[in-house]
Amino acid sequence: MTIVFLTLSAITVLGALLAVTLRNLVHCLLALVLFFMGIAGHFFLLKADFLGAVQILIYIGAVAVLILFAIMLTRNISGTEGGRGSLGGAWWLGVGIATTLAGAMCVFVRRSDLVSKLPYGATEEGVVKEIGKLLVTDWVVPLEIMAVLLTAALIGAVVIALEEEKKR
Amino acid sequence: MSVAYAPIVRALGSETALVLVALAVLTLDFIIGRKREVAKRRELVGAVALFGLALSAVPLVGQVGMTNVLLPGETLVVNPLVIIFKFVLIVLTAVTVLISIDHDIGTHVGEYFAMLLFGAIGMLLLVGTEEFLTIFVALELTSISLYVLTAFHKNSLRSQEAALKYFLFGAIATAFLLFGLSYIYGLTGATNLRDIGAALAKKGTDPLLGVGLLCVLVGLGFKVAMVPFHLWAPDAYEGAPTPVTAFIATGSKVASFFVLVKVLMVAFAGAVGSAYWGAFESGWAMVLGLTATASMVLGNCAAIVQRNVKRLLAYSSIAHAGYILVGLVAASSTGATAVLFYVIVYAITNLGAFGVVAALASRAGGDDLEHFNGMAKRAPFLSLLMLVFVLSLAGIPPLGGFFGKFYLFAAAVECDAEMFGLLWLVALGIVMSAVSLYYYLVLMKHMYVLPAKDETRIATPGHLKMALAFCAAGVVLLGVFPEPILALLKALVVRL
Repeated sequence: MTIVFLTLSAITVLGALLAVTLRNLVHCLLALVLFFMGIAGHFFLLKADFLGAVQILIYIGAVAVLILFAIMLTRNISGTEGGRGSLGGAWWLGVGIATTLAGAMCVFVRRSDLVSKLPYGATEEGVVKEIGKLLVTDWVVPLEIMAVLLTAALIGAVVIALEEEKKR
Repeated sequence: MSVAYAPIVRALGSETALVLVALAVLTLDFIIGRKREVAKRRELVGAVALFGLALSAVPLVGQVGMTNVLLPGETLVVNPLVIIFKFVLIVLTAVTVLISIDHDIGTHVGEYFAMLLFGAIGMLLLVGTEEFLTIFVALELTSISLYVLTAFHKNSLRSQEAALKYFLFGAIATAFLLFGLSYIYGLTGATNLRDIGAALAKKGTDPLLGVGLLCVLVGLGFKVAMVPFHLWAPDAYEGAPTPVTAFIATGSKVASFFVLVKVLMVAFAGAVGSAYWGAFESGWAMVLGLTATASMVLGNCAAIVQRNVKRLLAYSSIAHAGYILVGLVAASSTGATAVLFYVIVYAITNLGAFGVVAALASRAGGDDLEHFNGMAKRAPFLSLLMLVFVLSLAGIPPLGGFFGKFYLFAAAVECDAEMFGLLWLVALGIVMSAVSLYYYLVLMKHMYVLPAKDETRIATPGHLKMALAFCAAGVVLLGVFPEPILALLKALVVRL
C-alpha cells in the first residue's frame, strides 16, 4: 500500500510541478492531466470509487479537453508561444513559502493523534446511491446554490469573452 | 426518508425571488433592450431589478418572529438577526443598483444587473446559513459574481487587470478555506457550526485544529481584506467600475464579517486564545489581534500617499477592517454586537462615499484627487453628502462612524476589566484614527478649498441624489439614535 501511495504521490507532484514550469501550453495541459490522474488514483486508493470516477470523467474528460479547445481557438494550435520563463524572478520566495507551509503541516499532522484513528475509506456498497439520496435530502440547499452558481459563472464567462457591442 | 421541502422553500423566499428576477432581467434586456440606447436600457433594466429587490424583501416580513429555526439538513437558519442582515443587504444592493443606473457600465446591461443580483443572492445565503458547506458554496457564488463584475469595463486595461488579480487571489484564498474546512471536518465529523463547537468542547484541542482554523481565517480574511491578505483590494477597487467597487466594499464585507463572527463565536468558541498584552495565548483572538494591528497601521499609513480617491478609500477600508477586528478580538457578546453595528454603519457610509465618487468622477473626467478640486462649487449637494460620509469614516461625532468605533473600542476595553489587556490595541486604534483624519481632510481640502479648473456645474439625476441622501440620513440617524438598533442587536447576539 505504501509503495502504491508513494508512487501515486510522486506522479501527482511531478504533474503539478511540470504544469506550472513547462513553457509549451499544450505540454502544460498534458502535465495537468497527469496530475488529475494522480489525484484520481488517490481517490481509488482511499476506496472512494465514485469520486475517483468523477475525477476522471469531469477533470480529464471535460475540463482538460475544454482547456485544449481554448488553447486551440485562441492561439496557434501547437501552443508554442508560452511566455518567457513562467516562474518569475521571485521564484525562490514562492518555493520558500510553500516549503515552510508544507513543513509546518507535516509537523502538525505528525503531532496529531487523529490520523491513526480515522476510518480508512468507505467500503459500503451502493455509495453512489447514498450520495444521490443525500444530495436531494439533507444537502438540497447547497445543490441548488451550485445550480445558481453555475448559471452565474456561465453568464459571466460569456460576458467576459464577448466583445463590446457597438455603442448605439 | 422523506424531507419536508416546504419550510426550505419558505426560508429561501427572498433568494428564489431574486433568482427569478435576475433571469427576467436578462431576458427583458435581450428582448426589448437591444434596439434602445444604452442609457435607456440601464434605466429600464435597473427599474426592474429595483422592483425585484423590493419584492424579495416581502418574504422576509413573513419570517419575522421565527426564532432560530433550523431547517432539514440544518443547512439554513432563520432568526431575527439573519432577517435584519438580509434586509440590510437588500437595501445595500438596491442603492448599488441606483448608482449603477447612472454609471457607464458598458453595453452588456442585462448581464450586469443579473450578475449584481446573483452576487446579492450569494450574500443573502451566506448570512442565512450556519453550515460550512453552504457557507462555502454561497461564498463562491458571491465571489464569482464579483470577479465578473470587476471586469465589466471591457475597454479598460485596468479593469481587466483588477479582475484577474481579484480572481487569482480569490482562488488561492478559496483553496485555503476549503483545505481548512476539510481538516475541521476530519477532526469533528461535522460541518454545522454548532455541532463543531460541541465536538471541540468535548474533544479539546488538537494540533490540526490550529491548521484548520488558520486556513479558514486566511479564506475569510481575504474576503474582508485584512492585512496580510489585502493585496488585491486597492487594485480591484481602483480598476472595477465604481458601483461595483461600492458593492465589493460594502455588501460582500457585511456578509463576510457576519459569517466570520458566527464562525468564530459559535464553532471556535473553544479556541479563542488571548491577545492580552503580555499574556498572549495561541488562538484566533491572538491571530486577529496581530492582523488588526497590521491592518490599522498599514491601511492608514498607505492611504496617506494615495493620489486616487478610489485607492484612498480602498486603503481606508483596509484600516476599517482592522478596527472591526478589534471588536472581534474582544471575543464577547458586547464585542460581537459592536462588530455587527459597525459593519452596518461602515457599509452605509462607504456605499455613500463610493456613490458620490461614481456620480462625480464620470462627469469630472477622472477619479484622482485633482479631479475633485472645487467640487463644492460644482456640485454643492453631493459635496455636502461626501463631507458627511468622510467625517463618519474618520469617526467624528455625532455621526454613525464615531459611535460605531466607540462601541468597538469600549467592548475591547471592558472585556478584561481588571488588567485592561486589550488597551494596547485600543490605543493603537485611536492613534491610527487620528492619522486617518489627515487623509480624509486632504480629500475635503480638494473638494472645498482648492479652486477648480472648470467651474461648470455638474448636474446629477434626482434618483441618485435621493439614494445617496438616504445613505447620509442613515449615517446621521445611526449616530444620533444608535440605541434602538444597538439594543436590538445586543438582545439577538446573546441568543446566537
